[in-house]
Amino acid sequence: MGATEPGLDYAALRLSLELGGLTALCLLLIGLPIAYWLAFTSWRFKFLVESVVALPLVLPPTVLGLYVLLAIGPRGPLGKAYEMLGGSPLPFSFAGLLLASILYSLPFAVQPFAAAMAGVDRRLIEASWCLGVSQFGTFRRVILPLSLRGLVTGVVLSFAHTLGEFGVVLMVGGNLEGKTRTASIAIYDSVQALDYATAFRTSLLLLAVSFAVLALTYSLQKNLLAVWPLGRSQSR
Amino acid sequence: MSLFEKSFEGGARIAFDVPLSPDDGRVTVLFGPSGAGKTTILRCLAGLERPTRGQIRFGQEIWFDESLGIDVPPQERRVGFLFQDHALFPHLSVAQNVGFGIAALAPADREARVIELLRFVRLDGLGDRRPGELSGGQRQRVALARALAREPRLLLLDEPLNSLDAPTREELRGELGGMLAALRIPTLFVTHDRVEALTLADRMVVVAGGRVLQVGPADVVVSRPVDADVARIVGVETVAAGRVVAASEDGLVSVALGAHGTVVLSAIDPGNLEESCLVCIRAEEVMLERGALGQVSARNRLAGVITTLSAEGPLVRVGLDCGFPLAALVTRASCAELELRVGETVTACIKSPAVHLIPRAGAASAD
Repeated sequence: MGATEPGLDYAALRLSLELGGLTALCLLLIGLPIAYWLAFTSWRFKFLVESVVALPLVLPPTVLGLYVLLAIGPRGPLGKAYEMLGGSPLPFSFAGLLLASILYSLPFAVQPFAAAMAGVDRRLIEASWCLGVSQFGTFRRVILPLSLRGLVTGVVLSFAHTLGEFGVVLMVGGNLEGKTRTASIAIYDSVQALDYATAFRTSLLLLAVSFAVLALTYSLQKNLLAVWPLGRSQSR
Repeated sequence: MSLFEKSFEGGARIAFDVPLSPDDGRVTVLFGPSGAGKTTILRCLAGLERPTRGQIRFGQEIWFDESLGIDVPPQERRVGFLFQDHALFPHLSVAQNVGFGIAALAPADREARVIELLRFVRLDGLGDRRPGELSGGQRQRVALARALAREPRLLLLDEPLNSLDAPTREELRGELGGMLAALRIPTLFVTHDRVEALTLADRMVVVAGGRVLQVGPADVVVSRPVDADVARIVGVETVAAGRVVAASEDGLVSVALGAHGTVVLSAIDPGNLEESCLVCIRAEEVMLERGALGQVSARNRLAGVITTLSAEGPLVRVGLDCGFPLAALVTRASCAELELRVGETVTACIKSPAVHLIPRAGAASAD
């Protein structure tokens, strides 16, 4: 092993965590309504939407990245709109990266959300309606607390998935230090530069963080309802 | 008033045309075999299911009108719905369940109301429990309290006792009868249990195959079914309104029945009798005899005139007039031996244990 202390790219690691956190947060906000709709609609073409949501699971990240790049480029519809609103160009920026990550991790949030919501006993929802509680109130007071496990799973999975993304980041974000260079890209750079020690260290750290987050989640899931006194704070 | 139809893909159809009125605090029992469409009727009334056509009116309010495009959502109908499996919110305490529909009240008012309701269903002090920590009977009472919190204008109960074990069921049946009578909220109670229906019903609606077959006071429907279908559903047996006239210390009671209360039967005291009750006798428990016979253990010996005779396979169903209509079931051989003919007089023997009394709590006002 080398005697020189290889420099760990802390900036890249922090960027990865930030990106993962923000992506998970945005997906919580965007994913909930989509999942609610998917779980409760009786629209016969709902499968089309389901397929679109699931696309990132099977699509090569490069393909997704390319389309996102096209869309947010100066001539793309999203890029034009964003710049008209006074934003700086999206490609190769953190904002562009965030957008791509949200799309890329969409199924990892929406699918657990939707599965959990669809699993809520229909009678409980109807009971709530019969008690005069609106659809939104029922969502907030019955569906959300009862699908808490699925919500946590979705948020954690999308966070962890974003940590590990590579192709999309490279396509959309490029490799700008401190701006768009995430941990996974830093590892690739290190390997390219034959700096295996750094690559190993960064990889190990990423592995440890991912494992810790997942382990914590799954351990909490076991007795989440007991740990989380949601019910007691609910109607206060 | 409500008159609606619900059609399903595949041709199944449910039609319902029974008057419902906000100021009629009686208990209407929807009685019929499973699959008859009883639950769908309740769900349409609650607004959980959309009828295919027709109209649902409650007092002056239109809840549903297919031609006018009106479909009032369940939130605005203010009905109390009791589900078969209670449907309590598992993540909330008993008190939070009961107070769920009155979140808009001030906290102090809500708390007072919850306490009052828990007392009404006899669950004082259990407010902090989780539904998972309650017995089936307790859960059902929480569900009732929860439904009552919003002061519903109509109570819909979908086989609420079905998921309970037999002893709890029996206990809660009596209690529920008392509570419903005290509430005086118009109530629709779905059941396929005969005893339940007879115990609770002021009015009985017999449903089968998605159609209402008969509507009327419970004892009338059961004892005078309009057609063979109803007869089959309610079970052709003797059911007559009776009055408890005396109770002896050896566990027997005397019940007067018939138009003038002249016929007195001896029966086993079921324990919770009030003055008025329904007397039920299964046709196969009635023994017929003619002429002089030796001693018989049966306590009840009634003279009756044969009004009808109808063959049913190896058996003959004998209709008697003993001052009240009584049905007996005998074999063809006995029928021939006794030379039973319409218009002749025979003696019907019924053992006391075969005379089932059903108390009618709070049903004194039944028409």
